[in-house]
Amino acid sequence: MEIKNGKLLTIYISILSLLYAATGILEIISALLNLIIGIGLSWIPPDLFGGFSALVISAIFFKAIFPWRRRKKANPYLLGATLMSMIFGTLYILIFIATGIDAYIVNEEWKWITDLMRPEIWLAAASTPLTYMAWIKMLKEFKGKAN
Amino acid sequence: MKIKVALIGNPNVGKSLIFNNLTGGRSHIGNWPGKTVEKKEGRCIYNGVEMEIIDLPGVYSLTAQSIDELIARDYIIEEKPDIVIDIADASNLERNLYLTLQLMELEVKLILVLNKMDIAENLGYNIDVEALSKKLGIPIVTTIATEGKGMDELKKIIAESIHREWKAKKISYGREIDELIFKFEKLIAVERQFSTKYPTRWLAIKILERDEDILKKIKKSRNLDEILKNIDESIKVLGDEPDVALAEKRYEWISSILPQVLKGIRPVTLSDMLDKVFLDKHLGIPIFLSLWWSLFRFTYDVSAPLSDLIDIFFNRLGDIVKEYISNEQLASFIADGILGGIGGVLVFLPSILFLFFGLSILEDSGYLARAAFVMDKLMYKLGLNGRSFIPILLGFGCNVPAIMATRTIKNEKDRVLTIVVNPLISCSARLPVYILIGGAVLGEYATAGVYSMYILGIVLAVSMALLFRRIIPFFKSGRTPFIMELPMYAKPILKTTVIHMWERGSLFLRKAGTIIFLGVISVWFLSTHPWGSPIEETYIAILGKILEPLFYPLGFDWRGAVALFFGFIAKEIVVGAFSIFFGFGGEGEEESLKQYIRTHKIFTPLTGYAFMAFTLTYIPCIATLGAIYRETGSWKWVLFTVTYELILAYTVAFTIVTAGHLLGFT
Repeated sequence: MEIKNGKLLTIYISILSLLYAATGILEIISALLNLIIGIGLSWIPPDLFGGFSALVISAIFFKAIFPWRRRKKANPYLLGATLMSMIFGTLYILIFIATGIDAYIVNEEWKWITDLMRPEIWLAAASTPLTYMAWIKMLKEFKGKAN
Repeated sequence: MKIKVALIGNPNVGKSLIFNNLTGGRSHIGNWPGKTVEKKEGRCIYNGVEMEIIDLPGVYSLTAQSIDELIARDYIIEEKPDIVIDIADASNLERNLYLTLQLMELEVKLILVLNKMDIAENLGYNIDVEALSKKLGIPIVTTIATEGKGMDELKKIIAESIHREWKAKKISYGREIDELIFKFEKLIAVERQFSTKYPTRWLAIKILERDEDILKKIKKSRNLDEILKNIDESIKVLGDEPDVALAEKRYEWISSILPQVLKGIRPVTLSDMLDKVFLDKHLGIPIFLSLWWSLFRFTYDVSAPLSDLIDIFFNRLGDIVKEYISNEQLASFIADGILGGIGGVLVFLPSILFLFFGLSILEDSGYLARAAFVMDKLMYKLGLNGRSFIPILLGFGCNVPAIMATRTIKNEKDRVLTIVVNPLISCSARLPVYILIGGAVLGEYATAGVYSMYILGIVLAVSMALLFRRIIPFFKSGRTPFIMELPMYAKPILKTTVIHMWERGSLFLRKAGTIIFLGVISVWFLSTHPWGSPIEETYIAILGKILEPLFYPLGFDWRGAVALFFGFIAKEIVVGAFSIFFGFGGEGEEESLKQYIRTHKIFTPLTGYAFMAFTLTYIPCIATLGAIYRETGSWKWVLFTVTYELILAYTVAFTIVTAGHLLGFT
């Protein structure tokens, strides 16, 4: 996908923004249900603050849509959104690995599929091409200049 | 041959790094403006010349408005170092030269170090170092401290300075002001008490600026009346704010020479781009909260396997001790007292190291400064000083250095206010308590429970500050805007991050070997004596049962009460105490301890959460109280802090329990 191709990228960013928003809302609902009736939504982690963080990433992606359409050179919100997406994706992968090791140490059953199904891991993976494009473009633009 | 060398510079110019490079010693290298609040000394020998190097606090100027500035200024005037090294950020020359001019006015033997030359070059700046040196009349050395470049040249020029003389150029403030300065100079020059101690022109300028510290000193002058008369007359030339007028003149002078020595225009940088997002009007605070949340998930969840390994290690060690030591009392002392107590605390070492690792990444990347910046907007709206948020953030590590960091706050009322609310910020010592109790009773909400304690700490600190400002006359003052320098974003270097993590985390280890050790041994002794008695009849139970009625409305039994009592020494002892109480019979390991707390209903989710909030809020530890006394110089503020925190802790915990019951929680 060419970085100049604004339309496709706008759709791509919009989908990511929507998916993060849906994840955030569902995680918050799941957390509230779990708190009130003791059962959350299936396959959705009951995570109040994790849901809030997903909503924040969604909002940053959302803000990235508009300057992109105006074809600005580099898009700060795209850099910020992909960075946040990678931070949370990496975090949940680390948690996945740590939970596995911990289960082995204390000799407990590990429901690895539940940990691996954390939506933010897959959303980070889905945003990887965008992350690559945004940061490569940016690094090219700032090549030789200070950070 | 020995010479005394003083290092000075704006905050965040790489001064600590240059100090370390010169002395070979390790010291903290951070991004916090105003971090070097204490004088650091080191030694260096070059070509047979021994240098005693003093690292002065990072300052933007040499007025008497903050303790840091006063410390730096007084040191240069009173101690008269042989050489003063002014470290400037080459990528931000205009602002950094302001301090250089003030040092030139002090007529010290000055060397200017232009550090961060690589960043300046990357930004497209081309500095004519020779021309700048001529304009200022002082030698200049260029360095890249992060790579150790220019250090030999710096050492060489310092060593050679013994045989070289130079005088910095005098700055002209324009005819009218220069005449005023000359008038004061004449009045001072005839008095030996001043002329032998201070450079007369500098003193004249300070009098003209109406520097409070200098005005106090010249009260002994024979010419006081005439000086005061001249000060009144100077208003016609300088207006009501002479310090501002003179600062403008200095900047005018800098602006006049810069085009001759500096070429290039600053382009948009990656830092500018990222700041658009991280300092966004609407998203700045939510991003801060999200990153803070990720830090706690990292601290709590990712460190878990290592905590379990330590847990298993101490548990097995305890079993071995009990197996091989036949003397029951000695075996209990080692297994339950030392291994159970200290082991119960050391289990949390990985969590603390992970917290500091994450904090160091946030700090070294330049983000923490942004966090202070985004929160400043909120704090300013609430009528608080934004500068207070830096010590608040430092408080997440330890309240003691955070309280010391309040020295950068110029207004004394704001400073004391920041000091007294700082213990409400959740330091790392409280983390083990949250992890133990949260893990025991909050189930999958444990991390959220821990995170909420940190948020509650900020909310309470801000609320208390607001309340005190409204109701205590001492704290009533106008709002002061906060000017803060944001460092460039930087890729954290693993080695530096690990060093930072270790420097901070090792404090916990040292504490575990000293104060926590003594604390848990005391708890063990009191909980096992009279020897052979059931725990309900030991000395500690007697103490706990005296305290229990006080905590009954909060749902804490005598064990919770007595753990909190010993937590006054150091918060970690709360965990050590629980390990000892419930550690008998080989149930010392962390998971079993959590299970014991859960199954024996020591705490319910509600009372456990209230206990965490109480731990967050009640009396600061002894070290923090000592820091409050040292920084305020008054027992009054120590007593005030203890009193209000106890009341607040009780109120918060009671509110949680009551509100929880009303909402139907147990």
